[in-house]
Amino acid sequence: MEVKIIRKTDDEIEMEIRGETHTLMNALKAALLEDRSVETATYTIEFPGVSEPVLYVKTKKNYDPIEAIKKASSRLSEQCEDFLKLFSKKAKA
Amino acid sequence: MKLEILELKDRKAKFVLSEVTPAFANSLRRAMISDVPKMAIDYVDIYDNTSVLFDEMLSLRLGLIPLKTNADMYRFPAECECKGAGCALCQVSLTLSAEGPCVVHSRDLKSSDPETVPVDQNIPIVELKTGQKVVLTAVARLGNGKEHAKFQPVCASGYKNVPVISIGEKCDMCKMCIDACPRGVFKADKGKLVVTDLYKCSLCKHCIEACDTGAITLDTDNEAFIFTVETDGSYTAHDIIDSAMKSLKGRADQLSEIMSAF
Repeated sequence: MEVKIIRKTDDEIEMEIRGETHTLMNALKAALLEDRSVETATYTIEFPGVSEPVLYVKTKKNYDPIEAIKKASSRLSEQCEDFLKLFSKKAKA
Repeated sequence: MKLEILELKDRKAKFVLSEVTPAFANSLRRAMISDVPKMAIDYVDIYDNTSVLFDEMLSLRLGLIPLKTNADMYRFPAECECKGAGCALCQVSLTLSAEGPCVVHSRDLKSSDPETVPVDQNIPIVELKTGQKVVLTAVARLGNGKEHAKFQPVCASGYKNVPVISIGEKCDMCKMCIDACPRGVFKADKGKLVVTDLYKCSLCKHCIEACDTGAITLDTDNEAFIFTVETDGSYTAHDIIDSAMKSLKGRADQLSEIMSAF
């Protein structure tokens, strides 16, 4: 995974996340939208199989979009961890 | 997040995952299909092939044979110390030699690693007539479903929403819905209509069509998903679910780490 920032202002960011697919991007977008301080979060893969996904995030005032993405990805990671714990517990039973 | 396991066998799993976003459920499904590494034959040296199948066709058939995989033992060729040249850490060779008359089966493939062998022994590869011969060496390597379908460890992996069936007061116990339902979801119990097995419902709405009084309504729970995972035997269903989720978690962690550096 490689991240390239295309455009950044105080409350907006547009960045390319190289080597990723809908698998991570859609879950990440959903995690970003759970954050009340995030105004919009969306991504696009311009041409399937060729283009890299571009993530766009706009936050409400005084909130760094990079911080929002960082928090969303750790939230997603926690959710995965919850699933893994729950799954190994239930699978043993 | 809630999880209820309905069935967990070696080659099949069924579970209900609820209180998650549709995006999370879909990511799990996608990861199971394309992000779990699996061994498959990818390169074939053909010494002799006088069978009716062309070399290419024979190789394609070999590639699609599911192999038991221990992903901890092997590396992706691109990440291997040999830099993709091919070594014992990133590939396994299998030999096949047969002379007709016979049917060549997957069990005739002799592997150099006793752990990386065809899962099913009776997959026919080619039928040989008298005098026809096949002699070849095949090389299997790790790959993932993104690259080619032969590297997919699951054959049927998907989910549907949990149905929400409600039976209103208008129900006059005509029992038409019981006959109409192809999955046998309804049952008459003590003069009342009840839902016996909710997870069997395929959301076909035949019950609603059959109901003259309009007593049945069908909706879906958009945060609950019934997953079905069938594997080709390369891994157990348990290992596929576990490894798919770990791969998703790994990438979320990686992104979080990269973002911390900015």
